[in-house]
Amino acid sequence: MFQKGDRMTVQGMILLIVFATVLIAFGFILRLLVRLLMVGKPENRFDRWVERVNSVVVFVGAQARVLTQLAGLGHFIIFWGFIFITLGTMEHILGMIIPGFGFEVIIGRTADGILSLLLDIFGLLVIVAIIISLVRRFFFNPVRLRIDDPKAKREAVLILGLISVLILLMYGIRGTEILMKPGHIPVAHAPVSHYVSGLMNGWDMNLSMANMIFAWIHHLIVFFFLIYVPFSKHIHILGAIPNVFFRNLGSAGTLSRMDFEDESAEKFGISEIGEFTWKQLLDLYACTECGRCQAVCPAFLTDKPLSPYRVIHRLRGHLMSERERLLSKGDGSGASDAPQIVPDTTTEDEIWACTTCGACMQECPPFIEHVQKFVDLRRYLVLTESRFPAEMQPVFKNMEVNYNPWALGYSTRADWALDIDLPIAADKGSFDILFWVGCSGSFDSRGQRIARAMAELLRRAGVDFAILGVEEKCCGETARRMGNEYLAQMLIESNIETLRKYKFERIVTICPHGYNSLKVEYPQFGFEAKVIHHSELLLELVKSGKLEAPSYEGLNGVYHDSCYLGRYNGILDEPRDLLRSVTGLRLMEFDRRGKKSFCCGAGGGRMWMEETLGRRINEDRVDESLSKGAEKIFTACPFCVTMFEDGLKARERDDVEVLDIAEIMLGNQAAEP
Amino acid sequence: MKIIVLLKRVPDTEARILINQEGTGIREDDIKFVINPYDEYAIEEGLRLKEKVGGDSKVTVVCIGSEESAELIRTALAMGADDAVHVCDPALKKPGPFTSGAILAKVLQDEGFDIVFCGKQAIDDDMAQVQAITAEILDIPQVNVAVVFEISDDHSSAVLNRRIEGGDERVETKLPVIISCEKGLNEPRYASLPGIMKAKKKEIRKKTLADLGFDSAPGGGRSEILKWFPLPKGGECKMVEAEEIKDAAAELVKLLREEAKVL
Repeated sequence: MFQKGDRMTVQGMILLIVFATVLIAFGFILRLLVRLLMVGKPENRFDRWVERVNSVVVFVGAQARVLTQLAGLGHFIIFWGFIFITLGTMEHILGMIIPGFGFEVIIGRTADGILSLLLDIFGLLVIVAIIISLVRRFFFNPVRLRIDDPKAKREAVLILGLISVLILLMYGIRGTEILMKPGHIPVAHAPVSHYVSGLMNGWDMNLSMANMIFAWIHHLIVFFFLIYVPFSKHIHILGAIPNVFFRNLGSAGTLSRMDFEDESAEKFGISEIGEFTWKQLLDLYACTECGRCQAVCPAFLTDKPLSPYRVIHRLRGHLMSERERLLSKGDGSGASDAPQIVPDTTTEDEIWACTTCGACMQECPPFIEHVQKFVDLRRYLVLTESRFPAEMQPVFKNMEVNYNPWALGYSTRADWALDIDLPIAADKGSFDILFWVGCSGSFDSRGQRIARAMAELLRRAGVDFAILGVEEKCCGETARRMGNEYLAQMLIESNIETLRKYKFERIVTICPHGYNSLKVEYPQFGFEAKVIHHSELLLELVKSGKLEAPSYEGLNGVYHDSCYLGRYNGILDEPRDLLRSVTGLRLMEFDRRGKKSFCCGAGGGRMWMEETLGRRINEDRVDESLSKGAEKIFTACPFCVTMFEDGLKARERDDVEVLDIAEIMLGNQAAEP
Repeated sequence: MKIIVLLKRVPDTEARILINQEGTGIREDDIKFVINPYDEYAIEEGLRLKEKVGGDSKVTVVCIGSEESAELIRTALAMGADDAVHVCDPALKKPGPFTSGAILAKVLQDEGFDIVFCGKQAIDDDMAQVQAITAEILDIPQVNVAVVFEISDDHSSAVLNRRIEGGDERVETKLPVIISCEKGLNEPRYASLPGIMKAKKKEIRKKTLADLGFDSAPGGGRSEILKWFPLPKGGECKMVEAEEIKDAAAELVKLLREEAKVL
């Protein structure tokens, strides 16, 4: 690449030394970051390469999740601007070091011209985007950018400010170059720079000196960036792309399976940073603190202490400050003096505030997996420390002894169906549909009404079905999300043993929690079956003409998507299509609906816990439905029904009725005997 | 300090209790058994005392019961008790309070103890006699229905609050002593998983009557359960409906005379 007769200048030599030093330092920083990841426990994210590459194209290249909000356009511009500008910077630095170097030599004049044009235009766009971003951040204070750590805010300003300065300097460099070497860069390749050079034309200055000063300041800032970025939130420049690549391609509704084989184990769950998997640590590098998670988090929005990204932010800070200890000990865990994540980095109140609704993970542009971390921390508190909110203990004990969260005798599980004489699996042996009633349907008087409605509909449609009766146990979903993996696995394994005794085509549930559990978590334990939600089955029966949709005179209501049905499992259209099949029913929609639905507050075991911090989630959601003027609230989850009914009671609105889709499909005949 | 906790296996509070046909006991097929809930307070108080006193303190669980009781003894060990004595003998079908008292007194003598905690009563037969009988045989003090327990600094005595009708009674007792525990004394802990794992390796010393030096079940011949029978079914609610109040009243009087036979 050296052209004959050219010699490296002194300036080039100095730059080479500084650049090489910075590159070596940057190399060490990268090595540190990778070594810190390696402290994490193994996790297999090395399958399905095609899908992974595709994810990067869609979610990094096309910024698909970033662009779901208008503000994301700013990021899109800054991201692509950053790519082009970095290329231009590289070219310039190498050009200063290697006389005569230019991309033109490598990629040809046309491509170089296009690159130059992109660089020139994006520079301007980035400045506009940054100005809008700063105005937005400081004058509009959007929910998602509210953070309690003032350092985080300073960091954001520093970075955005420096990027602006860098771009101004870039135009300065190019502008002076245009003036120094007229005709060297055509207007078509650098319209903005030409405009800038026009502005500078009248200035009284030594062009080559100015060019050199601009270049040096510019490059030194770039070098500062290389060293500073990995220790700031802008580490996401390094972390986000691999994080998208290694994202969870399976169901987001599946928690990791714990292994209890090792009876000498003294510790279960996670209490120290080094106990996370490498992927969970990579998540920490990927967070930009955009706060989209916070803006949708039911805990945060009801003034509880939890904000998903603040936890991630503090965990990253913790990982960085613990780096020497982690690396010196190899695996870094187990030392008695090792700092505990709870309460050193995050509080119990935060960890227990999570409803596991998954809204944070649905929003997160680099696919950070928050819920698994919260559950891992819960697992430690519950399994190892036996430390959890007092009201959870009877729930665990009830599940252990009577296989349901209520303190009700297990032998009464099928009592709800005593007078309607339902077919029992043990008597039938084989049947088409196994109706998984669930704890709510079996024991809660409100849930029983839904179960009875469903049983009646199955009968009407002539479905060959059976219930497990007293053989059915709690599906384990709630225990699992409360961190009691041991109890959850006992229930899951016992249920699997029961399920294996019978022959059936499909399992239908009236509860999205049981649905998610049986569908995406039971396969972890070797049980695979076709699991459908009652909205799917009822729609199928209506479509095939086996079930007649009822008609009403003016039934107006708003449909609420349950998290584990809609967001986690994508069952969005079925319940709506079913409701649309009903004559005289006017379906209304929440603003926050579908995959962006707002949790009722019952998930993650919160159903069984006191809600003493902030406002009540269910009441916020009820207010939202009341503001829509809904006369009824429709849902497809017995826990949502309970939460809405409680919320309506609190608002003294007994004129508004909450109905499960099965109850609506029943028509005006009461489900009660 | 040597701390002993007495434990009994009883039907779950939520179980649907049905008397068997012969009236000799309850039907056990559809029933889950648990640690007597009041005994859980005893276990917790024993563990708290051990943690407070420290040193080479030890909590031993003592249980009279069938083979199936072992599972519940493990739960107590998982909560943190150190070891257990399980008196299990086919000759002990349904030991009465004198039998249990005599056996427990022997076990306690053999084991040696400074303090014994137990539930204020077992929720199955609600006799609340065993702790009293055991204390009498051993000729040591007993404090029943405790809701507050405080050990003295030199561990030779304790101050307790007993829950009595309408208030608490504060008493002081010398050790050794048997204390029966009431709800409110503490919040029993939930066994941690490492606790459950460790409990699998803890020792449960199984004893027969012969091991304890008895030829047959002791303490017999004082009182005996003759028969168990269910309560008569509660009357059903009948709504009297009529157009006029006075017709309803007439109907009500008729029903009270002829059906309820109370007038």
